[in-house]
This record gives sequence, C-alpha cells and structure tokens, in this order.
Amino acid sequence: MMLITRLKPMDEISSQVKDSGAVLILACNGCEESFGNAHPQQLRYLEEELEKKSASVTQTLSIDFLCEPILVRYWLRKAEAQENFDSIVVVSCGIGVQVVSKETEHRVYPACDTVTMGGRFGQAWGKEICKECGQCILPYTGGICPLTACSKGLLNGPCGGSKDGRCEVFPETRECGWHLIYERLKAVGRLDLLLGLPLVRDYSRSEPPEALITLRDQILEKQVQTL
Amino acid sequence: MIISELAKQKPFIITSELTPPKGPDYGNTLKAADSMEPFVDAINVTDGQSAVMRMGSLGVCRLLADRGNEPVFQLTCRDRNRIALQSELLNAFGLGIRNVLCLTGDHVALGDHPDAKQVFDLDSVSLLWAVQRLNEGFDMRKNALNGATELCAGAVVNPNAWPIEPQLLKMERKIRTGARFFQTQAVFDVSKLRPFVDLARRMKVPLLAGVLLLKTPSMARYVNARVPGVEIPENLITELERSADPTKTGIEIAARIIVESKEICQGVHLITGGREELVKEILEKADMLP
Repeated sequence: MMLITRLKPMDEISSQVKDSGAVLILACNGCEESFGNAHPQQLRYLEEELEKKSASVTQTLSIDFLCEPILVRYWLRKAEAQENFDSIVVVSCGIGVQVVSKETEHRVYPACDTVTMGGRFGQAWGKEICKECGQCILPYTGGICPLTACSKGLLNGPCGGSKDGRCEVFPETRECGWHLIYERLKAVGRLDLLLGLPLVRDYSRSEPPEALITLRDQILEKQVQTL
Repeated sequence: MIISELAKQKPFIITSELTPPKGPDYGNTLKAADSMEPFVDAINVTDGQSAVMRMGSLGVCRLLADRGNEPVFQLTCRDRNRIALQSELLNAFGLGIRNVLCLTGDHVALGDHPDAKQVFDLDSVSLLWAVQRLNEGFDMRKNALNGATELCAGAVVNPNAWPIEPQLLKMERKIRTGARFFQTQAVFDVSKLRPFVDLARRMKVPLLAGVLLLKTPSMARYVNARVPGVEIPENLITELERSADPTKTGIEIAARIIVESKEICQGVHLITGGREELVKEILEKADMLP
C-alpha cells in the first residue's frame, strides 16, 4: 500500500510548533519520497517557513520508512547524540508520526494530513493506527490517534467506561486509547489540550483531492517507464 | 421547569429514568411514569440505552410532557450524524422539550444489533457544543437559523472511572462547552463523588448523584460484568445475598446512598431499571417525601 499525504497549511503547522523551541525535522523516504513532501526541495521550504515563524530548525533527517520502529529508534538516538532539539516535526503519514511519538519523549507534530491509502508500496506492520482522515489531529492528542486507539473513535476525551486503562467495550484485548493519550499528555505537560474547544471531524478533508490522485498516476507511470 | 432553574429554586432535586418500550405499545411505560411522577422533579427518557433498539426517546418525552411531566431528553451520538442530531434537537425544541442530556452512547457491540454501523460523528462534548450553537441561533456551520432554541443541556460524568483525572478534565471541558447540569453514573461509594462535587461547585453547575436500585444479587453481578462504568462493591452483593427479601434490601441500600449524597450534592438521579413503582418506597425510606 502507499499512503498519500499532503502538506498541512503552513499556518496550521506553525501555530502548533510555535513556542516549541529547537525543531528536528524528520522526513520519511518511504511512500513519501515519491510523494513529494519529503523531497529535499520541499524540506528546505518547510525549514524556511518554520524559521520565518521563529522556530529554529537544528537538524533535518530523511529516513527510509518511518513506519519501521527499529529504524526510527536508531536514527532518533543518533540525532539526539548530535544536537539538542525540543520538538520534532514529522513529514510522513499518520503512521510515521505515531511511531516517532512512541519512540521519543519530545513533542511531535505532523507536517502532513494523510488522505488515502490509495497507492502502492511501503508497509507498516501491526494494528491500524491511521484512518487517513485528511485532518491530522495528532498534535492535540499527544501523538496517539483517537480515531484508531479509541473503539468509539471519540475526539474529545474518554467515555465513562474506561477502567484501569482498559477499553470498556473490549477490556480483555484493548487498552483505552484515551487513557494512553491522557498519560502521554501528562508526561509532556500538555493536559491543557484536553480542555480546548471540541474537535469535530471535517469529513470533506478525507476525500482525496483529484490533483493528488493525478500526481500518483504520473509517478507510477514514470516508474513503469523506467523499468 | 428546566433543570438548571430548578436547581436554583430547590435545595435538592430528584430525577428518575424511564426506558422506552421494546415495541410499539407504550402503555406500561406511561404506567411506570405515573407511578413515580408525583415524587420526582423530572423524568429522563433513555435513547437506545445499552445500544438496544427501542422506541425513541423524543416520542416518549412528548408523551410525558402531554401528561404534565418534565422530561429530560437523552440524546446519544451513536445512531445519528451531526445533521440528524441538530435536526433532532430542533424537533425536541419544537415539541416543547427543554432539557437535553447529551451523551456519547454505548458501543453497538454491547447491544442487540452488534452488526449495526455506529456513527459517533459527534461525541458528548461536540454535541453540547451543537446545542450551544442552536441556542445562539446558528447551526454548527454558522448558518443562521430562523430563531434560537432555548435548550438546557446536561451531561454525565462517571466517578467510578479510574484514574479519575481524565474524567475531571472531560467534565470541565463539558462545562466550558455549555453543560448546565450533571448526572453521574451510578455510585455506591459516595466518597468518590467528592472531586466531582468540588469541580461542579467551583464552576457553579448542579450535580445529581446517580443511584441505581439493586434488585437481586444476580442483577448486581450482571451489572458488574456487563454494564461499563458501574462497580457494585462485593459487600453490597453479599448483603443482598444474605437478605430474605433482596429487593427490600436494595431499596434500603439506595435510600442510604441518597441520604449520603444529600450531604454533598444538589440532587439525585434514580435508576430503577423497570421497577419504577418502587421510587416512592425508596424516597420514603430516605425520608425524602414531602
């Protein structure tokens, strides 16, 4: 499969990243590279735009497949040894963002919205952790997606049935997604996010734009030609 | 009278709960309402409780209003998208219903149609927000309405959840989003209410403690096993088991909880689960009848 993403509006990214100190940009060379958002040119644009909004980008790293936890862990440790940073902007699908989030104590922000799985190559093992909603809300939920982590897909906090961190519906097999989000936000000092205006999903954003689909076709066409 | 006004005028509010019939005949539902009506301030009507398909809440609310009762329209997000929910809120207002309890709703896996699509387009918090918008004369997309509703939105909170901090945060979020009264999930240990009572007091919204009538030991065990968010302590189940008349013992337990709740809450919400005729006896035992 191939997860298709598009860059979030710059204002949305910078409003989340502001006051986050030094930034590490972590880009995925998996499905993404072919998708443009992680091209060196695009990453330079992201760096410049973030710098304009007074964030200091200390490092930009491109890694093959951010959906691969071991790879992510390896490069994160390496990056940490090289330079100090306070937060990470991830250029990948929602899976990459959540894998990074799990591997670090730093605040993690998605640069992209994941729109559809409608492509090919690239793989992520394990449970479904990205619904390709086209409206990545991971900055508000501690880098854990409630659409997949909560059995009801609730966006604004736990239901009343969570007990000892287990899901009320499937206590034997599932953790309460909102418990995980709460623990994470507590650890990073952002419980205030749980008191914000209610999040409401915009389903119109999950419809893959025609231009992206055309671009995908062009990319695939080019690959066929070079075979 | 809407619950938030009632709370200003009465030192202690008593509400109860009615489950619509499984089928078209609502005769017994109205009989149950009649048996408790003289003793309660308002009657909640559940909306597909436990994800079991039944007659709708709004219809029964209107039937109650026709008989002069004050209904609380329970509305869940499980079965309707935001268009239907807003439409239903307008229906309710148009039909003279004023109290709306905004709930997320139980997962379909718990009910009698586990193969149904569950919606959850909104959740309890965003539903409260929708009510707020309608009360301002707009829909969720800021389109102007031809008037504003005057709905009194309520919400629930579960003091049994552990850890409680996420529940407290969500309760505060609900208040900020327009919740004007709270009912709690059934409590058996009143001390668990304390942090929620403190928050409600600080933010000036009335909180009604949920009181569930235990009818038999097996019912108590069933609730523990199957109803999310309720926990009946083992000592109470033992008390029921040792009793020659478990229902009588259940009534005594409920009355005890009411008396304890009276110390700290603005009211109680009684859940009698099909034994509405016992409301009078419970309140009598708790010395709450006028």
